Amino acid sequence: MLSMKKIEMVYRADMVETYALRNFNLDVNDGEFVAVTGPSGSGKTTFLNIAGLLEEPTSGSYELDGESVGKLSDKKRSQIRNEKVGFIFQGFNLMPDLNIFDNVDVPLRYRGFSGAERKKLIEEALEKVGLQSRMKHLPSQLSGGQQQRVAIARALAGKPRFLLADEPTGNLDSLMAQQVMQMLEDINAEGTTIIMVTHDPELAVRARRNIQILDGSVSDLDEMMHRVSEKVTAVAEGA
Amino acid sequence: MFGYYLRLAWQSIKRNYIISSLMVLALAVGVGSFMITMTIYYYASSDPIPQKSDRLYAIQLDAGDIESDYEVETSADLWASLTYLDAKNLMEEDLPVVNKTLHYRFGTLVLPEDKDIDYFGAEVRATNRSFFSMFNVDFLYGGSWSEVDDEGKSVIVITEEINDKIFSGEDSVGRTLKTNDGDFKIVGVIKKWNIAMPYFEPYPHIGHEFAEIYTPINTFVNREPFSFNGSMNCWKPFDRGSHDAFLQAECAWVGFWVELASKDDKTQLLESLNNYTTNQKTLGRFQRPTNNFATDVNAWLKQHEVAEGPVRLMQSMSFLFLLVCLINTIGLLAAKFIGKSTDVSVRRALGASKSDIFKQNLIEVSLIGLVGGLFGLLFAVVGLRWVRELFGDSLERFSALDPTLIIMGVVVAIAASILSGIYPSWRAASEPPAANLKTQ
Amino acid sequence: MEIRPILSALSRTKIAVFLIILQIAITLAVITNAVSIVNKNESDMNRPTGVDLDNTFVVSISTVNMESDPKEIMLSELAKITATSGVLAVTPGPVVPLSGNNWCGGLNTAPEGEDGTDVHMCLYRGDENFANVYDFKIIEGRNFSPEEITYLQEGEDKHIPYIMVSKAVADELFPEESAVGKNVYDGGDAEQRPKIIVGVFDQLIGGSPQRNNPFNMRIEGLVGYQHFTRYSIRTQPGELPEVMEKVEEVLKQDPNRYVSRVRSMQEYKKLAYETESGVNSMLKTIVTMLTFINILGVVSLAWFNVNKRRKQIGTRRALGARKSDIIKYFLTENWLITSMGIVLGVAIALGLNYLLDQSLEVGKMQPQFLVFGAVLLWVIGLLAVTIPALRASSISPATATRSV
Repeated sequence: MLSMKKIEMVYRADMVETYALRNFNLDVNDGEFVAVTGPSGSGKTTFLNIAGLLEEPTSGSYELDGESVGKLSDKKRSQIRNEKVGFIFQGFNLMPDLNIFDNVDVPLRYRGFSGAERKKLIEEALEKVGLQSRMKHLPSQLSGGQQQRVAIARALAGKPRFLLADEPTGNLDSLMAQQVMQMLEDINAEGTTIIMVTHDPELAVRARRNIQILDGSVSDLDEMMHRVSEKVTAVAEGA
Repeated sequence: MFGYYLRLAWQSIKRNYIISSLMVLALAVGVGSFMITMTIYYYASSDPIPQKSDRLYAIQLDAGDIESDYEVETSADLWASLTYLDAKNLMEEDLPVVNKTLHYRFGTLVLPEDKDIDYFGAEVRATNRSFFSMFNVDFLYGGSWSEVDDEGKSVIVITEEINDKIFSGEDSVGRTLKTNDGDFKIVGVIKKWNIAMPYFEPYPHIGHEFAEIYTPINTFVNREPFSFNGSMNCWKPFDRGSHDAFLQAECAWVGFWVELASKDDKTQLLESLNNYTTNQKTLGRFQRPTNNFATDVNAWLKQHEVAEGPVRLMQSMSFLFLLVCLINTIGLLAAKFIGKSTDVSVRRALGASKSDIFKQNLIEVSLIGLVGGLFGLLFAVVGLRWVRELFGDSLERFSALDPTLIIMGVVVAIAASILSGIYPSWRAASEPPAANLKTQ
Repeated sequence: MEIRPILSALSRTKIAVFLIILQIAITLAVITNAVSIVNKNESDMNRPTGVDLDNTFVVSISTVNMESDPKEIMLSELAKITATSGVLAVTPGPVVPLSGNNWCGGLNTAPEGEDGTDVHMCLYRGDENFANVYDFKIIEGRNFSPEEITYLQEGEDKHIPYIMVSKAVADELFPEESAVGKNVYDGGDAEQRPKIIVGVFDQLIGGSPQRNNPFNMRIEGLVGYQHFTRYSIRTQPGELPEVMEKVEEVLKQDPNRYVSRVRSMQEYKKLAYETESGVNSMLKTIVTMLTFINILGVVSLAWFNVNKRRKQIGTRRALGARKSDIIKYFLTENWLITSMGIVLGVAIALGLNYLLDQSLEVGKMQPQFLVFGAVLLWVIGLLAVTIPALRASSISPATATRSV
């Protein structure tokens, strides 16, 4: 499904180079539910951005669904993002001026579906998250949990193969977080691959696979201790 | 997708209604003031007779005094009329033209027989019968006078306005118009003449009054006292007490135009004119170097700088004003688009390409441009009325918005707003998509 | 306030800053040129004319029956006007100051064929009362005496031996000596008979003030008995409206005469300068609107900057910057931008002035207008930025610590 090899991501600002990802390797199989954890500034978000084709890595190769997506035009990348990837954000990122229906409509519009197709998909997606009765409401009229469910509906409406969630429960209380998590698990059970960034170990353990990003590189949990010791050495040498 | 973008644009305008209305306002005043000066320029510079402006030529001859030390390089350096002697000679000369006319104007006092109508002053243009066909003058009733009338009969062609005033719009052909210069038989009534100014005048300019009465030149030129309104330039002394001496005098005051069958005949025309002045040399006239000119209608207007002076000044000032309004709009748009950068990032994440975002922004900008343009037109309509009050009746024929101008106004507004919108739209579209997803 | 950090912050929003600098620069160029033109037009309009504008008017009159005797008519009309109470003086003559009509012709210090100085000028004609109707001073020599006036029947040509010239003409004809008593020659006179300058007057404006040298004038002692003529009439101070009515009334009594126009000199002046005052009104409007557009631009840029830097401002506050420091920061930033705009603007203003002067002869830009424009823009800029700056200063230091 997703295969990243030797990904490097360097940000340049004012003559200073900062490595966000360094020698980053990861393979995710079809249907997996991967939880990504790691301390602040470790490169989690950068990884998510690259995985979702929001950013291009400085070097390395990235294959999504068997297709190399490293060097594609903006148009092509946007199309892949639109068809294969769904995003869920910590801050929901709903459009405040658009009602629920229109919010879910956004990715479908860029897909070029007809009005009738869109209507069907939107209603389906909203039904799935249990909000079909709120179609005409504005986001501000909903609770946080409901808003996140709308965001999930929006991410799912186009039936992507692959869902990227960035701290999806970060802004929610624990009850609502449970509901959202349950929803993600159901979605995964239906075959959608999910990668979720979180710093909540309780949620992380509910995923089928856990990886941790430390200082721009990936560690499967069993390798973790080894990596940490390596890093300590590196820091000592660098100092 | 267009309809979708349009809906989004409307929503965005509604959300930022203050900044949006500021932009509309800036565009409207910029476009409006530009439209006002463009309208005046348009009338001052547009071709008054496109059907044959390239075949109508004003004639100038340098019959000046050998002792005068002026130099003639272009037709603008020479006075714009002929001596009566030369105009009369050229009427009889065999020139390679299909038509020719001579004219001058003066004032008269019209004495309506109906005592309820006050006397009024009117401009008379003394000319020949070809004048009307050469300058495409349309008749409401009757027509031009005959060749026999041209010899000096008391006949007259009046305008629709005078006909309305004295004869309440009825067909007045055959009736008599009384003036303090005598009684005239009306042979024709011309329709309202829809040109910005009498471009065929020796010295046309904005605000020139139109002649309201036309008579055969021979009916008047031999009369004493001789009456004349316009520019007269004399360069040789003559007996001012004698009317005959005046008609023979080296004084330029008669406008002279020819109509060619084709503009290619101009070379032949100039040859004939040069032949004429060369022959005149044997009579002791035309002692200066040969400087004869034939100038077509549009070049004639250009030569007299009709669209220069205040027209050009206000046009350049209002253009700069429009420029400032546009730069200002770019600034406002940049601020506005930065304000919705989260929106853009989310759309990008959901699969919108750069060009999708660019299009969406551009449509929003164009919508603002369209509204700004419409308000600008409104502003121009009101402004033109105000400008007409400022400059008086001289701008009367220069201040109506015709469809061409309205279309131009809308095009200018939209072009202006798109032009000012391209950069901010592109900037907003090319922000890294992931930049604004994290924070709120 | 340190300028370097502001400059480096500005350099990060290059295009936006460049645009506002450009906007200020063009605004300065337009405002200074507009003010310069307005000022030139106004000083033209306000220069002394040699006409008692408030107490002088002109009647234009013509004859219905051209067979009647114009001399008889004019003499009786002059008598009637003179007898009207409130009339100070009247003179007949078809050409009137500021009316748009001109009669022009040169004079030479020597007859044709000899070397002399030729001066171009325009002319008025009138009798000995001309000098009483118009408000000029005879600074040398004297006015015409009644017997020096030439009277001309319609269609007649006579030599006009006595003239007065304006000081401008006298100085050009006879730069070294007094013009009074000198002979001059009219190129249009076949016989080249001398004209005697009896007096030199200070100034009287010509028919078209827009002509070159509108004060190059002469007055010929001549009255032509013509069917169409004008009477220039001066009234007792303050009695103009009543006298205008009375004179019109008196003249209208003759059914053979048609009064086509009774117009005060103020009205003539207004019409003579219609273009200039129209241009001035339009330019003033443009300057006003530009000022507002600029305020708009400055406010929106500052607002935009404040919003974009909320966090940064909060951090500065948290690090101990006082409210006044934040306000000073924005004022300094604005002052820097305006100053850069003004530097560029002065260059554009001078360029624009050069172009306008080349094509339209608007005159050279005077430095005080550039100073005026610069001060205006500085003040506008500082006033416009005050509100966004105050808003910035009220950003809470806690903004810095609030994440997400």
